[in-house]
Amino acid sequence: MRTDHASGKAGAFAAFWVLLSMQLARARRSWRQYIIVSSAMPSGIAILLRAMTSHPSAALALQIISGNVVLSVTITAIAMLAQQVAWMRQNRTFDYYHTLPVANSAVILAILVAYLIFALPGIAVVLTVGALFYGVHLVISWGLVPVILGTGVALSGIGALLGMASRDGELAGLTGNLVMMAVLFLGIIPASRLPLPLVALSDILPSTYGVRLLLHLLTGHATAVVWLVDGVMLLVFSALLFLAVERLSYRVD
Amino acid sequence: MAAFEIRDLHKIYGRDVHANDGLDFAIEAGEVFGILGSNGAGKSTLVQQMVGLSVPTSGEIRLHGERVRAHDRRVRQAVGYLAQRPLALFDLRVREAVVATGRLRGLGRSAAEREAKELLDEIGLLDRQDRLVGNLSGGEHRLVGIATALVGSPPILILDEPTNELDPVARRRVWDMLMRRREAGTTIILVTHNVLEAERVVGRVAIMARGRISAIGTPGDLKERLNAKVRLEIALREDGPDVGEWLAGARQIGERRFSLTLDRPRLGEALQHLAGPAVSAQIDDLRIVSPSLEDVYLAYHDTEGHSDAH
Repeated sequence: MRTDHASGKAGAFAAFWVLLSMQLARARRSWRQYIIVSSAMPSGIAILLRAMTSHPSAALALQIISGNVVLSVTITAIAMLAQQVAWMRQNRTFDYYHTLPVANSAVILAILVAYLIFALPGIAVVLTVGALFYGVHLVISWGLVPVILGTGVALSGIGALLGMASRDGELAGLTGNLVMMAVLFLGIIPASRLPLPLVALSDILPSTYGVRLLLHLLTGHATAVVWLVDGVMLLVFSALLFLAVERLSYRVD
Repeated sequence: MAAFEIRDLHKIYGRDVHANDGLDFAIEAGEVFGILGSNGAGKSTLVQQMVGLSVPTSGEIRLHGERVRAHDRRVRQAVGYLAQRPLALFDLRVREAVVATGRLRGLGRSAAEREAKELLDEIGLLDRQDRLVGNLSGGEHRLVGIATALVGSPPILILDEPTNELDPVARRRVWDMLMRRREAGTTIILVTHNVLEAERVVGRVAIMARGRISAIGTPGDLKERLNAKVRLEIALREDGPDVGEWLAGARQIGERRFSLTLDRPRLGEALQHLAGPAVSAQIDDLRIVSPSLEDVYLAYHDTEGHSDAH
């Protein structure tokens, strides 16, 4: 029998990597579900809208594609994660992590990043379907990485908060779907066509800034001003939501 | 210095549910301490506060002299905790679950791999190491939980019902593992209602009932306190014997089997009655039993009148 003790603390990066691997292991059972759910609905909506509009402008096409990319992230990050977190709370899964010498922020970040990773296949499918059906040239740049990361973390934050606030997985699923609908409409319909109250609502959704940034990036016109306004807003939302989830998951009775 | 000190600890849920009601005791470093009690006695509430998952309503818990706070880093570094609920790492392979836990406790990759292999061998799960935790039986699942509590050799173990769902072979293996840790100096806090098994390993026990400590001491001390009592185990041949008032206070422990705890001076009188021709014809077996830890537990598990010792 061994008697030497562990140091009692893992390095921050090593701990995050272990935690992320633990979260990604969920894909072993559910990878088909993640791919199908995150790609089928956004791709279907993109195809449906193409069928209903004759000769859409490039601007409208890009708005639809960007909106559906963010919807793809929303499905995994909000609808699926909310249910998962509600289940984790019910089963007291967080207790396992909270009795190990690991930072809660690392646990939460690993969960949020894992669900963003689960959305990646859906994003790729939506971009491909969008480019094919709308016949637009999409500029794929490195700028997409921080935008998708920021949008994913912010939306995962909303999903995790819904999961923590819900008494069970069913309620989390219901509220997650309602928020997903809001993201769908407010993300795809241009702000100029929305009534004023909905414009105000869209301003408090991080997805709005993600869609705008994506729109500019995919057309290759992401200026410094766009980054400064929408990028900073996305960063602020990501940070605030992350902190809220981190605090809430650490609650004791 | 005591590993844990619990001082006037109260935990109240809602307005008036006293899950812990004025607990006061200490657990010395290196001892194996049993917390016994029936379901709802407040055992799990107590250990959840000890590991910082819950905060006391009043009173305090100290680890090595320093007050334990919610999510206390020192506790997380020092304590390996097995919760009563199953380990929810369903999507990990058995080996991965143990290695990951070891790495989160600060072991390097190769050390975690090596220790996981040793632990899984010791606990009898080496041939299941590549199976998903979610595909294991309830008992195997419990064993993985125990392995995750032990990996990294934390100096204190708090194990909440460690042998639940285990078959006799696995239970024996777990108790042997714990005894080896005890010999290595690990402080072990066992929460259980499996009194017979606990008696093999515990140095001291606290018996909890309705949020309070009913009795605390070594099993020997507690049994000594019951020495003024004696227990008769009576097996009857058939239903409806006239064994008179003697079975009125007896506790049924099996089909036609009864346990009767008496003051020692009344033993002779009871035996005389039972040996009478009318009664003895109905008796299949009769044993006079010295108090065991189980008797102590039963005597103290509810000091408000449900025990046959009172």
